[in-house]
Amino acid sequence: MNNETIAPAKPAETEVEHGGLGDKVASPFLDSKVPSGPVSERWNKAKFEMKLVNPANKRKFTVICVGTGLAGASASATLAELGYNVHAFTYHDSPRRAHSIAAQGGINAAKNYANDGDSVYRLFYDTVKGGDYRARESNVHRLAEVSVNIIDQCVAQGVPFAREYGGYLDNRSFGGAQVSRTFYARGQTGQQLLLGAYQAMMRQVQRGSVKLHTRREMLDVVVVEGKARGIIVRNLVTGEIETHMADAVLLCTGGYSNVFFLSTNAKHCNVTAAWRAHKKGAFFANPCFTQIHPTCIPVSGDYQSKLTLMSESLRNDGRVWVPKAAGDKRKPSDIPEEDRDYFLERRYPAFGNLVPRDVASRAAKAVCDEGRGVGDSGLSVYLDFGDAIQRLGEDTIRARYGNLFHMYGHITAEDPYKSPMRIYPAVHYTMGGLWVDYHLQTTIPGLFALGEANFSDHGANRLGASALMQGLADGYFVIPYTLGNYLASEKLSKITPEREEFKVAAKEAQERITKLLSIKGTKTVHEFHRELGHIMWENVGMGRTREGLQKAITQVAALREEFWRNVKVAGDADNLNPHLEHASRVADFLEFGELMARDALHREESCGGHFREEYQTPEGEAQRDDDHFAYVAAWEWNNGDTPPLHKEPLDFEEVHPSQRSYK
Amino acid sequence: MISKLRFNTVVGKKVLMAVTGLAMVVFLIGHLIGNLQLLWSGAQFNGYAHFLTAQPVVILIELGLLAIFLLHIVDAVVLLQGNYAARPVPYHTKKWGRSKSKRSKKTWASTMMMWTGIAILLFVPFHVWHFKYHNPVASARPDSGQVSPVVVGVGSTGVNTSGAASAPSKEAYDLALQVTKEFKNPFVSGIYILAMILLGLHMYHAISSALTSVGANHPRYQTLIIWGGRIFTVVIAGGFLLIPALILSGLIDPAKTLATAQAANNQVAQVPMGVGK
Amino acid sequence: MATQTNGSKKPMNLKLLVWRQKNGMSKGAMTTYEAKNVSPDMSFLEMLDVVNEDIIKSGGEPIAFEHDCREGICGSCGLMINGVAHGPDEGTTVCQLHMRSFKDGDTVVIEPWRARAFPVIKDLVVDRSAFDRIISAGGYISVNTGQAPDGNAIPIAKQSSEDAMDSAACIGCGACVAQCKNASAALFTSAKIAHLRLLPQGDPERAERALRMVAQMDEEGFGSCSNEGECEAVCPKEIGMVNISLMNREYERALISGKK
Repeated sequence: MNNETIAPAKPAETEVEHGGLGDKVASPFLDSKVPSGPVSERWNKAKFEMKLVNPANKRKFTVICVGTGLAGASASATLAELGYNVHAFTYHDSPRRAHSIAAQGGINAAKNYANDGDSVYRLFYDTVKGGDYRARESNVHRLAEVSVNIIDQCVAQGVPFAREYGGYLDNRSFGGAQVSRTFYARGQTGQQLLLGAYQAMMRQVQRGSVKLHTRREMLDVVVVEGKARGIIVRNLVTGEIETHMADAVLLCTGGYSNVFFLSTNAKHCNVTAAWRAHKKGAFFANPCFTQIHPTCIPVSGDYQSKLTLMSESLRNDGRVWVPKAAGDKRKPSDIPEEDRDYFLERRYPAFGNLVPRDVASRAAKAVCDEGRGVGDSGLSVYLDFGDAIQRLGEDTIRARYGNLFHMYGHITAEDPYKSPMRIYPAVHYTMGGLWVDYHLQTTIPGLFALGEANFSDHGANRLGASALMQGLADGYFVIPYTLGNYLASEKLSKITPEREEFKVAAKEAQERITKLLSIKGTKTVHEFHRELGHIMWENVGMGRTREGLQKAITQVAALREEFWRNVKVAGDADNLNPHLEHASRVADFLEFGELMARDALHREESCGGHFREEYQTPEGEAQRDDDHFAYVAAWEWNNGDTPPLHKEPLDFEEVHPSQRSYK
Repeated sequence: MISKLRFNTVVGKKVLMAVTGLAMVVFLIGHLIGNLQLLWSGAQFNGYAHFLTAQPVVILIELGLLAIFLLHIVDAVVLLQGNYAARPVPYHTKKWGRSKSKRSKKTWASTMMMWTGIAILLFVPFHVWHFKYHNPVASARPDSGQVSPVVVGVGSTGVNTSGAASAPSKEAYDLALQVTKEFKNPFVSGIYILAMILLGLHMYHAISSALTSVGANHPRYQTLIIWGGRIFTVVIAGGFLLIPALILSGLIDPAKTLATAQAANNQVAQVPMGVGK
Repeated sequence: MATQTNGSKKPMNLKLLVWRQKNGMSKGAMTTYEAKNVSPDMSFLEMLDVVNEDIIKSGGEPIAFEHDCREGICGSCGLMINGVAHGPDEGTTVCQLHMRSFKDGDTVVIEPWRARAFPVIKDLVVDRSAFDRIISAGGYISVNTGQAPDGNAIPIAKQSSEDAMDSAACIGCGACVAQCKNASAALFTSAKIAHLRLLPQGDPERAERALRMVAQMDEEGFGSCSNEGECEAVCPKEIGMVNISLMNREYERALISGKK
């Protein structure tokens, strides 16, 4: 790949770019298509203004849906119900394996069943504020509006949400929200929602309206006459490169947390589909917005393959601490009270251990950087239930957190009832993604992005229990309207797979595979991925600095160059080869990682999950710069050269930006 | 379309298996009640045998039982075929799930269903031949007017089943005595005892399994069903087993009790028959 | 807490006996590998990762196995370990199994799920699409997007909801089939039938659902259920055999009522 693009001198250039932003000049390439009028009327207005496809004509349209998670499965099912021909693709053996399945906590909806003052407006308000004023108000309001329909739909599908004794739906408060608006199915809400969507899709498979293509990985989007008209996929079992045509393509391919190698994402989660679309012309928005979750089980050794999340509800009763002295290797029980530093309680007396995710994560990293981290690696802090057990008794704690303690015990072989848990932050969710307009359409006409794959409605930080909501909102209630509008408005020419565009894309995909196998270097894909993850975590992780980001850009480029020279990919391309799949994904991460660092470098403010050490208040809190950075940063692919930045200014008509404080 | 989806499925076949199996269990209960009368007294037993042979419906029940028995076997063969076909490549190493969790209900009995089934399949024809044809019990209808080869009673005077006095039958014999005589032979007893152990093993799994197959299972009653089935099995198989075991060991001798009872009743018994004529 | 046979942090050396098979067409064989310096804190799959790195470095082809979330919920992973589906720990998927459940010097036999309905694709990876087809035969409630009444329109008893959740917890890993001596899919199929049957929403389609899903299960070539409960013992979500009983009941009811 073009390594000259990553000259370390380049960052200076991006720095200059933001200078002209005070006046919030919108990029002419970014038409958000947000309807006018009061925010609460916009979705209704948009729905009415959208063109419709005649029922008899719907079956003449073919739609490709890549990914079968919450967004993909719900979109496939709904579009097929409407009458479209849907082709659904997943690299898994079954659609039900998508990583949406791992979401534990719940799904928000403004039902106000709890009668505690919730409303569509409050959910909208909380989400915009929680996103640290970097989300599009209109999208967020729409999300809050359709949230209520999602719950109805899921209940009708047979999702066994928790119930009260009277038989009505139970709600809980989650992620620090002041109202109880979270619906849940034990600790497996994501699983149950996904199975609901999956089953709805499988029903359409039975009816022949959805054609399911499993074990296929998307390698390219085919753009014909400026519109997305198909995809190139690799059949992972036979290695065959396949061409699929359609009238529109939906990418529901999730997030890119695995650029950090260690994250709470499933091992196969990747940026490939989004990145290939980006290289075909779709802008990538806010790639540096990543969410880091404070309560994960820490790394235990070099062999560690992924991180496991534990519910943040643990912080309700656990106290977070480290020894006061660096290098104190005593057992936790041997460290007397006066030698302990309950750093969250010390720094944030008002919120204590319950500060938001990003604040807690940064504080834990800070004490570990000071050498006060605990455990063999020094990369963890204690989460101590000693006081709570003394106060409430072990039985109460067991009733509240039994399953989490069990899981912790299973993984670490330590007993959290006796000695404190050890926790460390881990990358968990990515708010950034492909830029989409109000219709979820990317900058390539006919190419839509749904769920975590788009730059989303979460701004710079996502609130708990909102990811499931967004995935299903996009799939069930947004895309059916906006896609119809696209298909009814555009004149699509007849195409065949014989067209040059398909042939070229297929050939390139094949060549790339051949290239990967032909390098036969000395370093494994795993090693490259781990190294990339290290660079990203150190420099583009929780605390980012100009120097660190510049270093990351150089280092990622160097690593990428080494990858294409020295990677060792085992096996062949004609049989199932997970190693080759991994290589192809890491190759994309190696390009994407650089863009992420670039985005983080250009955003000279701290907001939500993005914390620049240079931009903090005297108390060490995130310092937003609304005058210069209240915009969506959308990056355009430039054949490997420094990518041009496009800006979509964000106006806050309803929710006026304010500074968060947890002191 | 739906009509195709009926009984000929693994679930349908298992239901059939269970229903035929449970029907045979019902038969076994009746059979055991009859047999245990032998332990009460030989006369009681002979009376019971007499009563049975006098029922024309017995032949229908016998045919029904035969059909159920065959259905059970054919179904088993078909299911087994399917089961073997379902795993064409065997495991290199295979252990019981019980090594991991007590939630498994697998037992040696459940793994040997096919073998105990085959054993019972071999035993039943032998048993029928042994007591029905080799030492016939009942083969003429009571009102046929024919001289029955089966004579229930004792002594040199035969009484045919219609109550008419008859010439001494060529095969006249006393069933209780006959059974006792046979079971005194350790070889014959051994076969019966072994067969009953195998039947017990078969039923040990079969009762709760059949109830699960027909759907009579519920989280709350699961343990009850399993243990109820096992205890029931011990009672049935143990009951059958008791007869040869007790006779062989000499703990009871129905023939002896019979002889004394007959001696006392002989005269009395003749009278009503004569009156009947 | 997990079964613990190795409480120490001492690294172990193990001998692995692994099924290797190039693809669905070729013949496979058990092959021996050494796993050296295995930390007891590693997960089983991390141990395989390390072995694979060694294999790649020495010019071989890594062992293919299925995995994804590594949190025990996606249902991707599934291996027969020493003859038991998902290995020795109760209520655990392979990805959550840790090496402290093994001892230094152990031989570990690793095989793919074996069933006609689950053909091997490569090494330890099998094709479980039969499960998808069983679901598509009727494992759903027919409701189009937009048709749903308010979520609280039908009250559902807390216990019914909890029972349905117990059955719905199935992750579709296929361990039940793998462990069953008959390679029966009864537990998988019945868990879905039970999940939807236990909720009032599933009632209108219950007869057709039972008939169709059972017919599809048959079509895929799974064996019959011998009611041994081996499936329940190895199920990582501890789904009970009572589901199978419920499925049988539903099936009989559908047969008797003659309803479609």
